[in-house]
Amino acid sequence: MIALACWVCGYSNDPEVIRCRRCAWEIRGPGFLDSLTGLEQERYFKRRDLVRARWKELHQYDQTPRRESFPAEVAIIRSPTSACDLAIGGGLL
Amino acid sequence: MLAVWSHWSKPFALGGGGWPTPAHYLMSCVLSVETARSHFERTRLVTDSAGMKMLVDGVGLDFDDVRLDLSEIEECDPAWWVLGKIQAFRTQHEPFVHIDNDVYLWNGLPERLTSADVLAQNPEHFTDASDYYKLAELEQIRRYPYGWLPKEVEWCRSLHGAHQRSLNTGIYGGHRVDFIQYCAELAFEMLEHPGNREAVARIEDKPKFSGTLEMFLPAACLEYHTARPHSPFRTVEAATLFDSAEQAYRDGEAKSYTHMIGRSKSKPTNARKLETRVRLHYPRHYERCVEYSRIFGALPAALQ
Repeated sequence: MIALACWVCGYSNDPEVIRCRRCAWEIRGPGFLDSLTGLEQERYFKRRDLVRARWKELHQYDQTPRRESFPAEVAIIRSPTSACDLAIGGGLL
Repeated sequence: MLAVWSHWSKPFALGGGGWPTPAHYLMSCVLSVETARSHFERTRLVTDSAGMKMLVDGVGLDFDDVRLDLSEIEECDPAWWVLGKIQAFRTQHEPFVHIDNDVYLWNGLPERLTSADVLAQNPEHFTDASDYYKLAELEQIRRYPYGWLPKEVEWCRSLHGAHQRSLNTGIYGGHRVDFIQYCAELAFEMLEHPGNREAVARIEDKPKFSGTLEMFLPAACLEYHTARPHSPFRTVEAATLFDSAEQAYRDGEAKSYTHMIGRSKSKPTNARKLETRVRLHYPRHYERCVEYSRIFGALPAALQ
């Protein structure tokens, strides 16, 4: 089984994951697009593009997971700042 | 610009806030007010009579004026602690910035924020799985025969589905107080609408819906109204201190901004730093925080 890249944020999810662990977009397996009619595909991509644009705007989207560059990021993205246990600018205290 | 803080006594008396002890909450109020004071023209506390007694008479904080507008929400369920903050937004009639009691503005705010229509900490992104919003659960209101949701919520939901945006309101305010009041009214209306009462009463763990009321509604209203040429709010623009949640964490120090957000305020290391800072820089207030907190029977660990 291979990891499935999220079509919104590019995060490589484990094969059994149903929703992207980073952005919560629903992960679809191979063959999904073939199961849709042309109109359904069009709708799907339109919606995906909207969500991707939102993601890009808010998270400076790139294709590579940035877990290494900013260790807390995954936690922040999956749960908003208010639910996080890191203080913003805590070093100033 | 007017700097505003708020304190609602009812939820505080029930042990809200997430601080290790009430004394830490009081110390955080001291640090928040005292660090910001010199950067703003005037300061205001919006509270109720018990809050005034505690923060002004008890702790000794000075404000240019104290308003008891939170007395008006005395009958509200304190589980909706966020209503205290929203009531403070609702009752401002001049440009202001509301500063959370756990936010410390070491160097004030840049001019692009103090001159903005609406200012906030940062845009935030959430999904149905986020436990500070619970938007999907709040939408159960729709299942009730006369349930009502604001058109702005319906519109954002239909457009963006599970991926929604909000504005973190660690700092929040601006010059378009008409827009800010409108958003605040919507929050109250959602909870008090006759068709929603049954659904709202059935909601468990109400604090987990706070983000929807205080942070999602302003963002939804912005998105909705700026897309409508005939809306009185079509020109409203928001400025945020940080461009994203990640940037807030990366650049908080660089922008001289501290927010003891969420669960971070319960961390012993942060609590110790807060105690030390207030004891060293505001010793008179520190003593009074400790003294006053004896009323609650809880002291900082170091003093027990």
